[in-house]
Amino acid sequence: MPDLVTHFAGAYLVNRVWKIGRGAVIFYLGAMLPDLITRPLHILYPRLLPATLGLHSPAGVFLACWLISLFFRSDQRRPVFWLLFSGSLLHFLMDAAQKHLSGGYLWLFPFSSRRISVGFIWPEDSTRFLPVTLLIVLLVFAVSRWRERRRTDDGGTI
Amino acid sequence: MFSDRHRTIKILGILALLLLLGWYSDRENRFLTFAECLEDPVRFAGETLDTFPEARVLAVTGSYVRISSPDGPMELRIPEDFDRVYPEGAELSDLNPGDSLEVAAVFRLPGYLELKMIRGAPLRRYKILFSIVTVGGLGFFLFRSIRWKGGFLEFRPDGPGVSERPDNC
Repeated sequence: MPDLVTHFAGAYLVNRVWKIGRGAVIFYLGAMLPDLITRPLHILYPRLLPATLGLHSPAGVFLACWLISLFFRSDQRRPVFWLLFSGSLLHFLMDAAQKHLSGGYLWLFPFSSRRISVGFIWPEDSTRFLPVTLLIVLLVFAVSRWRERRRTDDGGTI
Repeated sequence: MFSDRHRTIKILGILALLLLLGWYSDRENRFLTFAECLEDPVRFAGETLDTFPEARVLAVTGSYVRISSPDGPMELRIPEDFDRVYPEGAELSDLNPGDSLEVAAVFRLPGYLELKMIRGAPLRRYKILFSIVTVGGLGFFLFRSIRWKGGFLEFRPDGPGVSERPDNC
């Protein structure tokens, strides 16, 4: 997995394009969810690794997103679910860029235990590139703020 | 799927499915351990062990790499002309005690592990640290955006991002 700063950065950039609005925080949560429900378990208890592999899959995350959405008010559940799940799919897309010495991700679990790896960067490379990633995020943030302010000023003069 | 009808049953059902998925994953993705190889050396001779969860370097000498693993410390003998060190261009001497690593080894008779390939990941500790900080930030952002009211979570009417597109949730 890339680090969660990089996952957040990816979700932030998607949000700048889609303008998710107040649901953005849920989209960000979705972008971190696959790691949040698995990594703490196997980092603290390495023997749990085989059990967590299946949860770090679209099927496992689908269930987790559904579960979380059920704790929301009934009229907010559907958008919350889709924001979480689309954030999680973005997470898997970013994970796909990674390569491993052996194995990969169980994208088809529980229907298949075939490990898929199509990546071209090592898992810790995202941490090495963090300064660049953060610079891009800050740049996009500054430009979008500047555009918003300009739009507000234009609106004010009309 | 999202209605209040049978909500408690749905929540318990999903929890049960997640546990079942974890159990099935544990069964399907179990990896070969050194201890299992030692129980039946002839059967496992030549098998590759490619999963050492959360392994770390303990020591590197000219003849072996000692690593920590859930089964305790292990020595991986370095074969002659060994050159499968990753990332590309790295050397075994670049590995330092305490570094995380990804490693694969072959079980050899009478009962030892021979290094097949190895990748040092010294930045992993920072990766985990930065990730924890990000989760803290997200927690703060969630607290500002969502509240618990009447037995349910809901978006705060005055939460961040409301002015951009207030009607999407």
